[in-house]
Amino acid sequence: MNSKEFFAEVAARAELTPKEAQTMASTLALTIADNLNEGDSFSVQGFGNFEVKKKMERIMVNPTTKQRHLVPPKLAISFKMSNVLKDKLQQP
Amino acid sequence: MSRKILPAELVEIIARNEGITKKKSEAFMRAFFEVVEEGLRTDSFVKIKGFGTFKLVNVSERESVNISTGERFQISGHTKVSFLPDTAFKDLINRPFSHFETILIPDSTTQEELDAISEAPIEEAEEAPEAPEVVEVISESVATTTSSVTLESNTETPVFPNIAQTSEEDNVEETPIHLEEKEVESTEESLIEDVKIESLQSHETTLEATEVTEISPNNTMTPTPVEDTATIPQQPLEETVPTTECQQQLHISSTPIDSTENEMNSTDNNNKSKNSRTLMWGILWIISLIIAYLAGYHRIIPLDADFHNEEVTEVNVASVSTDTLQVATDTLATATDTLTTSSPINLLPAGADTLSVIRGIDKATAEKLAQGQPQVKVGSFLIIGTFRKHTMRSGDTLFKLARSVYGHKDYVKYIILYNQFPNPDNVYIGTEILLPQLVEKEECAG
Repeated sequence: MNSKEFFAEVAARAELTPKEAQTMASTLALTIADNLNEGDSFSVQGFGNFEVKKKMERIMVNPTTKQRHLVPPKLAISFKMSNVLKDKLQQP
Repeated sequence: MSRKILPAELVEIIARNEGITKKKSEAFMRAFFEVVEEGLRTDSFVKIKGFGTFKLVNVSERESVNISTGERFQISGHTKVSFLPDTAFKDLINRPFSHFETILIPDSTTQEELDAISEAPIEEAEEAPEAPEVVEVISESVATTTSSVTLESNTETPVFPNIAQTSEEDNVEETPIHLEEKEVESTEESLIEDVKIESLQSHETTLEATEVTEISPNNTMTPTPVEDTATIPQQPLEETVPTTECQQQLHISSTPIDSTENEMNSTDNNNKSKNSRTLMWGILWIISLIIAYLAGYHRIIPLDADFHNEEVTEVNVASVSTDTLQVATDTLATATDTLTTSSPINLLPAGADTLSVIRGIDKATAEKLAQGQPQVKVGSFLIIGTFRKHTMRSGDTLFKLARSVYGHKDYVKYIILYNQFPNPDNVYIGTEILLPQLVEKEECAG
């Protein structure tokens, strides 16, 4: 399911236009980013858990050139699905 | 720290930001995740622009061991949902750290250096304590040069430790400021000052002529041990300078008739000797040999003339000075008491400043010696306040200033004392100088 199909489907269910759905999706992303600090999580029942994790700085070696790079620390979002979703998807 | 946010909170925020009803926002939120779930079930992947991609990933079955029982069991293969945020969302999340960039580490950097990055501030602090070590080394080396003359005259020895102490303090305070290379120079200077001061101080107290005859033969001995210790690699510079200085003193004393000129020359030589030390070294060594011969000569012939008397005391002083350096390092603790006795002025501050004060007196007394004047003016005045201010112009000297304001250049020591110059020999143009108000001591007491 690509983006177009997805927004069309969401729009149909939430009684919005696809365009509205798209802007709201990006607003959702923005609010998640705004409200989640390091270590915070956003859990959707029956779906899963979004968590902001801090990745520490590390030294990376380019395998071909053997150059070493210092990779700075960063924040990344991770997702873990809930068991409910797991069971649902397991059923054919 | 970690907080769990529920969809209800975000629904409210979205509703506020988008200007839509809460109900609409909630409906969107529910629809959003429902559609994701359905999309995963139908297509096994959902791509959302501005958010990310949900994908179903197959996890193959694997074997594992029950930790408590040690039993082997199979974990059945299943599918899990992976979420890859798209670049826009990723950047939004990483906003707090977005100013960081990946740095290419140079090849020369070793692993140890990388480990030490976090401990960098400690490394800086470690450089400073090296200065006192240098001082210790010097004092030890000087201690080894001590000849048999140690503590020949009991009246004088208490005076010297205090001078040496100030020089040491001077070292400690100066060296952290300069770079490590300059440490050697500063120690040199302080040693020069030591020798100078000691010789003049002892001249003030004037040794007995009989003592002089006993000590003078040892004078020939003292310069040579100093040379011997110079074999230690670090110290040649520090060692040679004091000895040359000794000999300069000797040189002056041997020709007291035109001593005014010599005085000037010797101070000039101080500066030049850093550059052309080897040349000076040779000349002065010959002169010292001559003086050593003269000293021996005077021992045979009884001392009657004042001229000779003075000369030999100077010689003696040079020999004592090297000893007292050693004495000084031993008796640092007692030094503060003798501080006041060593110089007649009571306004002595502690530390490196005393050095400049003593240096000032030293210069003034040296002038007097050169002129053959009695040392009446030394310490007979008290500073009671600021007389007026003067800004240094081109061509001004402290001596000229003292002469114009107080009528005699000897008053320069009060100016130096009052202003606490870091280096009274080098006062910069534009420096504001406070001229002290002086009152005679007797007058003050009366």
